[in-house]
Amino acid sequence: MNAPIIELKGVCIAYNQRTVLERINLSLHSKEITTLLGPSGSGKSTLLKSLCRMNDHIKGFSLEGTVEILEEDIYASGVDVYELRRSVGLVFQKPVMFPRSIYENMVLGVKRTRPEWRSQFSDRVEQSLKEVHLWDEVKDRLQEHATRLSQGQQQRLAIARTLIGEPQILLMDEPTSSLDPKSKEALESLAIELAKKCTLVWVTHDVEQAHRISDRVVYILEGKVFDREKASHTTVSPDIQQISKGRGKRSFFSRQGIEGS
Amino acid sequence: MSRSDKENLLLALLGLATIVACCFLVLILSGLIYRGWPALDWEFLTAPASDFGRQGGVFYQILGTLILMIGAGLISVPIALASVLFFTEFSPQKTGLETYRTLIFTLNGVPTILFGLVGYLFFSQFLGIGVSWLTGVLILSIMILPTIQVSILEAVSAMPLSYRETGMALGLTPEQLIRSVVLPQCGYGVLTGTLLGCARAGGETAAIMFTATAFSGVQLPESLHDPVTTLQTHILTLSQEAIDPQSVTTAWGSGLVLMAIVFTLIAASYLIRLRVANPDGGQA
Repeated sequence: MNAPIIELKGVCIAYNQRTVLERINLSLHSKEITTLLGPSGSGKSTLLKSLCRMNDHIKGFSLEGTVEILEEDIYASGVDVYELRRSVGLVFQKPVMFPRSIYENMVLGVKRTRPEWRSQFSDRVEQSLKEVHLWDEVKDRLQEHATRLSQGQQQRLAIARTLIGEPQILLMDEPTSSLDPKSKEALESLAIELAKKCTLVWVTHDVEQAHRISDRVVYILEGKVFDREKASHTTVSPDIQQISKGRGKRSFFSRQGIEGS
Repeated sequence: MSRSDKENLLLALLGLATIVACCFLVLILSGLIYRGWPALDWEFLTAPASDFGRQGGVFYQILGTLILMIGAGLISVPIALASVLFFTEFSPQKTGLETYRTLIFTLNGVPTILFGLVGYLFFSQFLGIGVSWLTGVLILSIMILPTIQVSILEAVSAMPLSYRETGMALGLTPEQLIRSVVLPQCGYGVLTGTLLGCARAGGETAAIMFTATAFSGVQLPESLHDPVTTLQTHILTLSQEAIDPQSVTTAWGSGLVLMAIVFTLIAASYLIRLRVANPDGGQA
């Protein structure tokens, strides 16, 4: 078994001293789809967002234990949380479109975080939109308001906007919950395709969906984790050194550890 | 009395209160237009005052008012914006935001004459700037600060949390989040706050009366220590000469010009808000 890309060791999460998740030990491997499955309020979204430190700004949030991503403790002091979030992308339950054009929505993040890519923005937009099978639908109206797209298209655009930053890990927080069955199916197929490129952690409370798309299902119930492997639908050949190719291993999320791609 | 009678009575009282409030505004406006209109012509707007303000126009009074308004706005906007962004974007877990909000509202409630008094003692006397347009600009900039801060804070607070979270999830730093998400989404708050703040500065008399303005013999300031003449001071002084019909007509005319400036700013801020509330102009 290869080294895990995400590893949680004795993680306890609390809000204002109220424990939400307790003593979680979990290892997730690269280029797999792992679903976090559980009822509403079980703490699966909290766990997901802890992987990119999106809970930090919530008052009363506290985390004990170690969360390692690519063998680096992301809650250690000195970690560049912004670089972490660029490498660990998050797609929300409801697609969030800014009242701007499709193109501007696509480059919203990279315009600031990867200014050195400026000359390649158009190509990268096209490539990312193709990856989520949205290019043919929007290629002639990139300057139109993104809010005019359908909900399913908006969610694919949100994924493309995250992918354009080339994250190593993609976290998806119930991404199909606001979609119609057809868009839901399309997004599930897309997830399976994307898993060839990056590691996916997908939150859902839909048991059937979890088993349709996952390499691995992690059950979360009343703040506790029950882990179960599932027969893989893909040939997973994770190689941690390949994933971190071109990046300084010891300080993966620190500014000095990042090399321009 | 039955429940429907009570409801009708309440409705009638609310309607009456609305009519009274609207009547006051209509009365003031119609009185101002009726009495001020005869004084208004091109020469009134472009000629300097003469005969201690009784004759001539209000050209330098308009310029003086604009200098104080624009100057106050230029100083206030960056301070208001920076202070709001500090508490909303950089303060960890919004520490101190409630205290800041309370301070803004308290500052907003301070009587303007006190701004004038403190400003006079500090800027004119302590710093030695004297009675000058700069003292007026500084006093007005402090006075309109809460108006602009409230407008920006409201706009930032009204921004959906999902926008902020999306920006954060894309790896934007607080500075990048401000430039890419907060300012583009809340720019209308900065703009409307500036316009309303300037309108408030334009309408202010007490705070600048004895700190920044002179009634006659003043044109454009040539140094930081020169006073200006403004429409407000002009109206106040001419109104005190109520026995002279020409003075009164000029005062009404000046009032109408001042009202036009303030209403233009308020209307502009209203239009900006309307545009933000309905960005597609009503289209789907």
